Amino acid sequence: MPVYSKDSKLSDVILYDPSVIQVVNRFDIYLGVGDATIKGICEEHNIEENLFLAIINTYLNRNYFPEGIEGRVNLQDGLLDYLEKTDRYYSGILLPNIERHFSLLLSKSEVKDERSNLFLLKQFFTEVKEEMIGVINTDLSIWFPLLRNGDGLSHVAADIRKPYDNHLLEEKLSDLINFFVIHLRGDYDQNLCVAVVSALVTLEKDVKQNNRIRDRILKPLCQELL
Amino acid sequence: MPRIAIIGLSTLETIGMKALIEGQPVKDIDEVLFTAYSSFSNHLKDYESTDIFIVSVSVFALHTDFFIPRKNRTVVLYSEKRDLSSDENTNSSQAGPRSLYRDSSEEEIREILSGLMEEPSGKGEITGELSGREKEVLKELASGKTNKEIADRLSISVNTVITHRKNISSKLGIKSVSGLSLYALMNGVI
Repeated sequence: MPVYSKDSKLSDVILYDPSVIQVVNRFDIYLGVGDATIKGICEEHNIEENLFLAIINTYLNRNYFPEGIEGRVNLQDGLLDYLEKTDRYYSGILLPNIERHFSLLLSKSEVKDERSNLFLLKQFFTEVKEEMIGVINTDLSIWFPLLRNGDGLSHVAADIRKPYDNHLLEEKLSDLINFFVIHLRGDYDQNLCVAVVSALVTLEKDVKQNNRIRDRILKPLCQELL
Repeated sequence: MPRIAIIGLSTLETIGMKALIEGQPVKDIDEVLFTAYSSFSNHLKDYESTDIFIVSVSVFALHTDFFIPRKNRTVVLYSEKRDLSSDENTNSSQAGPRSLYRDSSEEEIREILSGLMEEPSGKGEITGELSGREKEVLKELASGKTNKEIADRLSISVNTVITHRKNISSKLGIKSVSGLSLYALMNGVI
């Protein structure tokens, strides 16, 4: 798996894995990047180049660790803006998208029995969604403002979830997908089932990759502050 | 009835493993072979129809290609004492072979051997079918009990509960407690 440098062309990165479009969008970079290098794009958009490279490489490559990131980047360099946009993408786009597909699937399937597979799966999704919205609200209302203050972490009560501790959600999303793929019973609209599963897979993949960014970039930067 | 092969790298290792397994009241074993390593490594094909393998970690490491496809009917014996912190890790999505340790209690050994006996005769590949004991553990889990509470209720050790949980997750592809509870509800376990 490639590791990109400041001289890599951004178009090559996107063509290697188009899901990275969502990542560059969070830096306000949109399609039509021409043949600009990462260095050139970062200069043009006033983005910290080391942070951009660390995020892109960590997102794409599960074996990549941006060692010594705390010496090259600080929390005020745009990471929190990136994470905030990621949260808003989940709450504003991906979760409502899954919910829409799910509701349509339920209405087309005329599910009446409360023990039916689909009805129970929708309940499980609602639980996951509410948990995720709770995490996002804590990020936006507590964690990110504290981290933006710079010295806020030391004042945080111990019972508040750490901003990089998000892995139970990954597990539940993976369970939801496995329920559809392995355990679904009944005669349902297959196109709508595929739409729900595809939307769940997109969310799960992004959450997993974003959790790597929290683990390997946000965590060391937070620990610097403690 | 199942055939069991016990294979250590050296004669001494095999004798030690034999001592650990012997005396366990596991019913319905057809034949236990205490196999010399050289015989096993030179005649792998002859062992393809063996039902259960109990092997030292060195033998497992030397023949991962042989044992990984048969991981559900393989027990690996570690000479080192267990690392309890790794026992607590129930997140592994790909459960490996069952493990026994030098300090495993008789009860744990019995549970693991009994669990292997409960595997369907189709050579233990993942089938999604839960054993009776696994269903009991799932039922307790779904009712919100902790590992300790389940262990007390079923009169087994906490480590055995954790092993059952790993096996359940591996068979069903479901890891979270919420997901397991949902599966139990969907399938009439609760």
